[in-house]
Amino acid sequence: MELIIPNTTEMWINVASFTVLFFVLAKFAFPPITKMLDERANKIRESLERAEDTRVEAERLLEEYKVQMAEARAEATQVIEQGRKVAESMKVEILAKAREEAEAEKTKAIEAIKAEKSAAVGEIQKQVADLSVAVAGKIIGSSLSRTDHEALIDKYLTEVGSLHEN
Amino acid sequence: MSAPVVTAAGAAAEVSPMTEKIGHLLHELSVLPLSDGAFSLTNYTFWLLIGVAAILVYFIVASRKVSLVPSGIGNLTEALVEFVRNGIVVDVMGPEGKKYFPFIGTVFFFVLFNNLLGNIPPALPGTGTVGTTFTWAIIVFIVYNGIGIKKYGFFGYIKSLVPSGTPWWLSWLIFLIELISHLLRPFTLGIRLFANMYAGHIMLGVFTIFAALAIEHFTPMGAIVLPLSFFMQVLLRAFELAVAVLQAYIFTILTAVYINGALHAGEH
Amino acid sequence: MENLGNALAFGLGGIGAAIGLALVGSKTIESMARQPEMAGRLQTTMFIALGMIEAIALLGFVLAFVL
Repeated sequence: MELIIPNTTEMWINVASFTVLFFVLAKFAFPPITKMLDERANKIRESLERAEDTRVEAERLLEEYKVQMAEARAEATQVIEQGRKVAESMKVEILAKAREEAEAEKTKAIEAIKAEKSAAVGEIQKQVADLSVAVAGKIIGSSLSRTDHEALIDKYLTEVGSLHEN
Repeated sequence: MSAPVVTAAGAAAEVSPMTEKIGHLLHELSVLPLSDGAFSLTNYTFWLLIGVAAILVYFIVASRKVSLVPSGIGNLTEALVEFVRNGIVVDVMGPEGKKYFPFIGTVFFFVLFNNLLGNIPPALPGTGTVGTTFTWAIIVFIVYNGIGIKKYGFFGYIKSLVPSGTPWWLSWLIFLIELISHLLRPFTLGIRLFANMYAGHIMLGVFTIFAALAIEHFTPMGAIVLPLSFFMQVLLRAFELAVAVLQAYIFTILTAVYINGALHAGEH
Repeated sequence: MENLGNALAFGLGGIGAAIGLALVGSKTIESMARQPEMAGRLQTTMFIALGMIEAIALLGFVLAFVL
């Protein structure tokens, strides 16, 4: 029976040890440990949340960049297309202009040649007339009146000229 | 077991060495004052005070070693504290129970350290005496009833022992039963822990006595008993270590359950 | 004769507790196998029940010494 009758001394020592233990542990030992545990839990939670945020942000940025890239590419294609169109139209324009200019140059040249030719023909006519008169005068030895000769020469030259013009 | 019994049968007239040694063991395991005097330590309280000192030193050292990046002793302490806080307090009482952690933690570490100390051979477990276990059970009883009374008021708490809506003639009976069950709680709490530690040490002692007697009176039977009891001794040591932790766990979890019951006394 | 009484007090007290412990243990294992996600809470409850049952056996044990 004495086995389960508590010893009073033991009981008081236990009450004292409970009091000391409880106050020391609750005041000095547990608070730093539990605070630490909570802090770590919070830190891990925060880190995870931050990582999640960063991931979402990165995904958003990637999406944005993709859209921007597509836009830029489309724009570039458009610019190239436009450039090609402009170049095309310019080419046509330049060609037309060049052709026109060449045409003008050609007409001018032809005209100049024509003028040159008629001038030359006129000169030759005159010289031929003078020469013919001089030759005829030498051959015949008589002086034909100038007006008679001119009528003759003109007649002759018209014949020659029509031949020449063909 | 048979070898000593044979010896005992041979010397029936006088006290057999087996009975004598077991009587000695029981005497050693009973509460003995270390010296004469009005307020002297007993053999159990001597080791109990060493256990308490060990807890204080351990926690004062460990609480300085915890840091955001855990290491060494801080790791172990954190694991223990986390086990009590999440494995016992939050599991039984929910997150609002965290404010009772200092009390429950004190109970757990007191019981755990003293139980384990008892497994170091010359030491006795501080919890192997009813003086300790009943005192702590009564402290638990006072604390959980105090929490209930603080929450519901004295008469409110008394009334909450009887479920509302019981007829008056039945309520007295239920009240009486509830009262007895509440009063039995510190008794069973204390007896459980005491009996486990005490019985464990008796078993260890008995097998040690077998081994000692087998060496002393070396007979062919003793040659079988000796290795067997030695093997049992090793096995029981391991079992006692497990029991030390398990009983600390059960003592603490029942404390948490009682506090939880007091907190929710008015809900049924 | 007196010793026999002590042993009977403990032994008979142990029978009931042993049956109780076996029931609690087997049912807990069964429930854990059925719902592994509840293992933590089941274990806590099991230990509470074990503690209650064990108290009865231990009362027998103490009685064996006290008698």
